[in-house]
Amino acid sequence: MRLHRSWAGLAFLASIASGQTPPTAAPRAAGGGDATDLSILYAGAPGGEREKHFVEFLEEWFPEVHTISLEELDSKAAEPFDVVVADWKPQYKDGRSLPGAGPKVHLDPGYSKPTICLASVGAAICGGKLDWL
Amino acid sequence: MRLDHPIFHVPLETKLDWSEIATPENYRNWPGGRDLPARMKVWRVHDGEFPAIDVGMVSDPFGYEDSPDCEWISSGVNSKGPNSVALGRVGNFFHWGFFGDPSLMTESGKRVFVNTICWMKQFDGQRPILPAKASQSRDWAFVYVGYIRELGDRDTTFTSHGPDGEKKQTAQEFLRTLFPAEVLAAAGQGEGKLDADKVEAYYREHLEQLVSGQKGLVVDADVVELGVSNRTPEILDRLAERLTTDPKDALALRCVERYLDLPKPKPDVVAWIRANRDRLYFSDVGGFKWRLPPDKLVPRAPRAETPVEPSAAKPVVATASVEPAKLAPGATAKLVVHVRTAPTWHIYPREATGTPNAKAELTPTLPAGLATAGDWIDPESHPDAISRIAILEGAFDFALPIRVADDAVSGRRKLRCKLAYQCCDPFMCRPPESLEVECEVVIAVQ
Repeated sequence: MRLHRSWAGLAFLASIASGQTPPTAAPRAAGGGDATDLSILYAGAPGGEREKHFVEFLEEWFPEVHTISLEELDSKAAEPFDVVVADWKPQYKDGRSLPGAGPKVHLDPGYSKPTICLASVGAAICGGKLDWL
Repeated sequence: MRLDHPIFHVPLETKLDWSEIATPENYRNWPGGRDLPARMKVWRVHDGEFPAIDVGMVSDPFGYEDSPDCEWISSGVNSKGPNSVALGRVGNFFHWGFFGDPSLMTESGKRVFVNTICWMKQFDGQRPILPAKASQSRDWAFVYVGYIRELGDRDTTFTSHGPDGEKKQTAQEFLRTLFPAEVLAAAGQGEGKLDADKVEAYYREHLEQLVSGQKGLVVDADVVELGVSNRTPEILDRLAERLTTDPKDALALRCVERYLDLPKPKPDVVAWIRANRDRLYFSDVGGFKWRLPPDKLVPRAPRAETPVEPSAAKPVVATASVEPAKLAPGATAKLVVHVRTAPTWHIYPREATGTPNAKAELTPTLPAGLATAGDWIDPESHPDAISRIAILEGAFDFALPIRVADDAVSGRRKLRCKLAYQCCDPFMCRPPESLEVECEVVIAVQ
């Protein structure tokens, strides 16, 4: 039994790193090769600010970035890409949970594409050990 | 944080800037939280926090890595305990528990996010081994003990809603529902207020024999009789031995049923154990079962070399030396394993009694020209303040007398030694583990 769901605020604190500017070209990994030569699928809430921010950021680092609604993500949609970034819009307003704001995702059982899950998206699409504490 | 993990280093080297915050008070009653300092070192991933932006999410850390497809990488400031998973991998899924999008991320946060994407590429096709949790990890026993400490003195009424309607309980009534009656009885908890120290001591003593029962974590009497842990390979050996002697051994058959995830149709159990022993892993979360991993599993990131300083992440470190380090043929010396434990952590002596926890075991590998010349000389132990079981903590040495052969050839020799142990702090025990140390000696013919 859990007493209450966890919250996670800032993951630690630090002064913002200085002297690190985004590259104008994809960086090269040590030892040669372009480790960021990957195609990325951002699966989020279409048309929102988060999608805009993520796409702008990912396009700085990766040569190919596409978008899709998280609610349409499945193996077939993810297959052409190297890595998926799974995200969703805010589910709280003024500190209160918005009923029904969570994504309606139904990944197929065979889904096996590498997927970065932002915040609570992992609990929605993976579950198991990737759950709320 | 696992700062040695590749997501902090490749392909983009990342400079994390550190500062300090007051250690969250809610950490104190969670495993690993009691002896944290008043302030803790932290790294900012993004600006903004709840309620200005959504909460993030942390996952259960206990048993997180008890299947080989998972990696615990970092906690994050949260309302539970210090080890809650904020960055971690489960098969092909990476949990980035923070909500801030790139417009809020720090520069180092962005670079680690890029590295994470690159790191995950290799796990294409690696679905999570355990699609659902079958049990809580046995470490939750100590979370519930923490609840006793947190709630035990509260004049609070808990209200629950069930099939029989609304039910109100006092804090003590609620806490008793977290523990099986047989555990409370065995821990000497009759009527009245629960004693957290006694319940904890009971669970610590029997940690390696715990199994998930119908009403919580209980001690498995069969495992007690076997005299082994249910999650170290020795139980597999013991079961194979007993079933070889008597294929109808009732205790062994019960343990096979309870602990082995056998394929269908059911194979010859002894042959299956012997064929798969070194591949099997034990998962509390997977139902307290010994399981076979998938054939093609991309391994976790290798851990960094044993650090010089022990820490909460790596509570036991060791080095080795030969004293003296330069020897002539026929000379005697000592192979010394220098062990250090992090504050509040301990291991168990080689000859420890009264505990099912794994005792220290040293296995030297000596090169040609060197041989042992006696048994290990053990460091002095002392009784643990709570359990009174002999423990080793702080800095201590194990020494093995060795001798150089009379006809040893000159040159450098490398000696290795494996130290197997189980380390515990007042709240939890890590699974039995081992480390390896090595050192050199020079043999010089005079």
